[in-house]
Amino acid sequence: MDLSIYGLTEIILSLKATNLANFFAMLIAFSFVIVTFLTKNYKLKKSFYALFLLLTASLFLIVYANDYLLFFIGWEIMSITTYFLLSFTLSKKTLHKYIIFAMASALSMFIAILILYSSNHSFLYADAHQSFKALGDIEEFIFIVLMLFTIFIKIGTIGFHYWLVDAYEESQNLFTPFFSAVLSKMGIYALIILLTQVVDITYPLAIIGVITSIIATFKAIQEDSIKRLLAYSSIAQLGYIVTVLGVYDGMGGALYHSLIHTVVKLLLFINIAGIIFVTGRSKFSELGGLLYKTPQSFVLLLIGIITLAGMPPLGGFSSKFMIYTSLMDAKYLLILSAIMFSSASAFLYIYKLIYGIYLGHPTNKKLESVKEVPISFLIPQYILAIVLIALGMFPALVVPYFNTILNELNLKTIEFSNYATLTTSFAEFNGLVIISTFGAIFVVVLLVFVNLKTKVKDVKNRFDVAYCGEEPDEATHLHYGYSMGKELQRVGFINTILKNSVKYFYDYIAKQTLNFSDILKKIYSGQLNINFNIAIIFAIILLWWSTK
Amino acid sequence: MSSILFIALPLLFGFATPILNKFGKNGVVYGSTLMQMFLLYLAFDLLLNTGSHIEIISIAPPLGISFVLNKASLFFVMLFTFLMTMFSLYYLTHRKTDAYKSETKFFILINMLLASSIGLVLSSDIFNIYVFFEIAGISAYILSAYKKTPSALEAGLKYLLTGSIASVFLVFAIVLIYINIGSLNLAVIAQSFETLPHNIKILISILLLIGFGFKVEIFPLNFWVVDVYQGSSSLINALFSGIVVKAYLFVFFHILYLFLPSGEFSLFLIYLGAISMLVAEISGLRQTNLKRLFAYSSLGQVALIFTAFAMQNQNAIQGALYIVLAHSIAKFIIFLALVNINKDHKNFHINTLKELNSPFLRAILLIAMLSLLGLPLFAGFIGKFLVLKSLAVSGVLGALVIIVIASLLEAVYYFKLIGFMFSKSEKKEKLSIGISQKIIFSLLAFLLIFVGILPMIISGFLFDGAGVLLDSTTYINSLIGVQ
Repeated sequence: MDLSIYGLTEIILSLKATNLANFFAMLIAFSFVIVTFLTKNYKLKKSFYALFLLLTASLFLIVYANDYLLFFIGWEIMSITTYFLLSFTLSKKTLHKYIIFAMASALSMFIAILILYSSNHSFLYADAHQSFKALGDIEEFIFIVLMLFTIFIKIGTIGFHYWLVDAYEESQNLFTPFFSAVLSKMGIYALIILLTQVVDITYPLAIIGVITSIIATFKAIQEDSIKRLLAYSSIAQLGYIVTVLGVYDGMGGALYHSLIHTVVKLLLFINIAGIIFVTGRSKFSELGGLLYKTPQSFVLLLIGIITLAGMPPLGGFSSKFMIYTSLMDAKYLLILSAIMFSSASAFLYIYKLIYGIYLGHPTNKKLESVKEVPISFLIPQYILAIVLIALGMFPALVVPYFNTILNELNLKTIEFSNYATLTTSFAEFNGLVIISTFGAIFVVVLLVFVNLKTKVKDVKNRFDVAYCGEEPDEATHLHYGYSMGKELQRVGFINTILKNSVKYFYDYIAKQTLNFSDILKKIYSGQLNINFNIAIIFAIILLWWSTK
Repeated sequence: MSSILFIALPLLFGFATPILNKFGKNGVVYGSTLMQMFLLYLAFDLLLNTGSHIEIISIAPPLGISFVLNKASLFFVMLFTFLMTMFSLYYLTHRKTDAYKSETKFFILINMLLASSIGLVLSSDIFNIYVFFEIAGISAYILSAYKKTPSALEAGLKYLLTGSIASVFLVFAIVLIYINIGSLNLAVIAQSFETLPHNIKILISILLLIGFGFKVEIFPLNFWVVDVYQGSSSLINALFSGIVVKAYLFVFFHILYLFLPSGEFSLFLIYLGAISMLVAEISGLRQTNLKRLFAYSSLGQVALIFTAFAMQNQNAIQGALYIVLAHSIAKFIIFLALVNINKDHKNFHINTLKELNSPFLRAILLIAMLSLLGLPLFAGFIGKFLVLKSLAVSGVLGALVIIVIASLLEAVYYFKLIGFMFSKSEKKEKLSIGISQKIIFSLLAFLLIFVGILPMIISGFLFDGAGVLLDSTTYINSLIGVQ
């Protein structure tokens, strides 16, 4: 829509449903539907629904925008509505932290798109590349830095994650799945738009992504709060996507991993929401031994973590497979080894999810009376689990669809022979074969286990355990996995990473600004004689300056 | 003739209040409200029924009075009459609970303020501008000290002192102009200003800049503002922030476009505005008094408008007009809401917002604040966007970055306030607002959202207005042609 006829010159607004936009819109709509299953379990204000709908609308505006102006408007509305959605549960400090970062992100994008606009007087994606080429060197650099700053704040790249973890932890359990699955994906979408429409940055992006994923993984391992752990895990997973976007042919892997990450984070956060709903506890040290109380949740979480770990036979393996091969393809071997290191370290926190909650010994008396989570938590999880299993069986199910997107972006497409075989330039695997093999082994092991299992004495009392000869009481942590992950602090370099937080940096900046504010405030204290002197000095300076 | 009515009617009412007083206690209040509504109707009529309207009235040229009503000044006239009508209507509902002493005097001052603000916008000779400058100043000083509390008197005195210093500078500039050119008509001055010696030109420019600089609240000259806002009652602050500053801003830039040297001067003004905004927003960060906080925010917004006008670019001025509209309405909402929140006029600590127990007022304040921050869907956004866009296009990236950082700081303290408003701390007893006040607040808030969602409604008019304001040749020719 050309607004010139209305007197707003040189502004064209445009919407376009590209295949890429459709893909992200589908993720949004899917997550929206999944999350709405949960709403009846929580007492929500009416304004929550209104804001949630507005948020979803702004997300659709972001993905369907065909110019940076509408994109920016959508982005701002998204930030503000998220602020009000979070304001129902967040503490004042966290909320304020969130909005400062969100505004900084939005405003830096504002400067960036205006710089881009200044060269060619157009916000359209179609002109973006030309406009970028027409900029001077310094402006190009500023544009890239500001744009990346915006995106990194949104996806919580290490260094910019200060707001994210707290916000995830304190947000409404109903909203956290949406937060992680969709809102952070908007950062990825912005990055894809930046890379495909404006400028292609490769290697630096891959390094940033991989550093993010390693540090976030270590931070996740030593977390005691479940939601904080998943928040760090989310940062790490998005780090993989950023890494693979830094590779020339990595788009396919990035899209695949975005899909998998959306589904798996919805599953995990909803699972945790269910556990918190029935137990009222959100820390590993307060949970444990829920396996026989909530067996369905256990199985669903198992499916989730297998995917999150990127192990065969489920969908997570397919996307990890594509990420690794495209890194190999681009000969980024250092980054490949780093990402494998981070992926392997991730097992530590992934395992923590299952043993901390479902295995081991219940830490608290109240946990003994817990029942299975309500059906409205289970239905969405079953849907998500079916998606993951289907993607495990037929890893190439989405490949034809991705190929239409890649074609549209003029990128190399993924080879496709049949739905069960995912083919890359290095290798191929058949999901159906793998899943049947795994399934067969699983059934055999299960049968052996069931038949050979000796009858264990049913424990009547929680404290009826061997405990080094001492008698445990209520204050004793009975869970064998208590404070697991803390031992990492003994490893020298990891401890350095974990100790040095960006918190100090941001606190320092805030403190300095406030001090400066105090100084400036003094001249507004209303002493007219000083102020008139300043005015006269100002006049003299003006005179002196103008006669030169 | 209508342009004379805009000035003459309020003046007439101002002086006729003793007679109106004879009609009973409410005669003044209802009479002048009706008069303001009539002026608003007149302005609307002009807007709708005349295309590219320009009206020039000269009385006894070239030394006499002349007024020019074109699209640019019509916008301001309409804004002022609209806000003043809203103010009077609000006062009508407010006086039942907390009436001002001697309303006759109060309404004389209000009407004088309206007449002089419109006069500043319409006048096209510099002596008249000075006269209205003084009338507006005097009525503002008295209004600011009207409550006669110690802080109000202090505010009035400070306002008076700075105001008189500002007018000294202005008079000096006018004298210099008259000695060198021999005319006070803006068009004549504009024609022959180029021929003046360089030093005189510089001196006049600097004198004008400092004289008006005090009034348009620009950085090293704006130290009095915060105290005045704190001392005066919130009701009056709405007028200061919504009407008086805007009139001064318009007339300063009107003179600037007509004859002051541009070029390097313009870049200097852009940076002056940007730095003023930054200083104001940084100073506001730690403020705990609501009135002072909103005073800092006003300084910031006015500095943004200053920057936009200083760019001398049609798109930027269009944006500036949007911000003028959005800021005036938003600050009107905020200050009038403060009147409701703080009936005892004593405690304006930001914690009072925590205890605010009125969902309606909270929603209205929220809309005003979000619009002030320049967020999409509100009127503030489109103005800020247009201004920053023109800054980027003209390549003044330094000022662009400064302004954006200032906006971020503004967001920091405004969101602190919003957090306070919606915090779950214990509330006072419910604050009841009359239905008529609700209608006034809703109308103002509705305008913010309406313009924010459909900026096209007025963008054409504002674009033309900006063009008219910049086009000094047409202005000069039409004015001299009449004479």
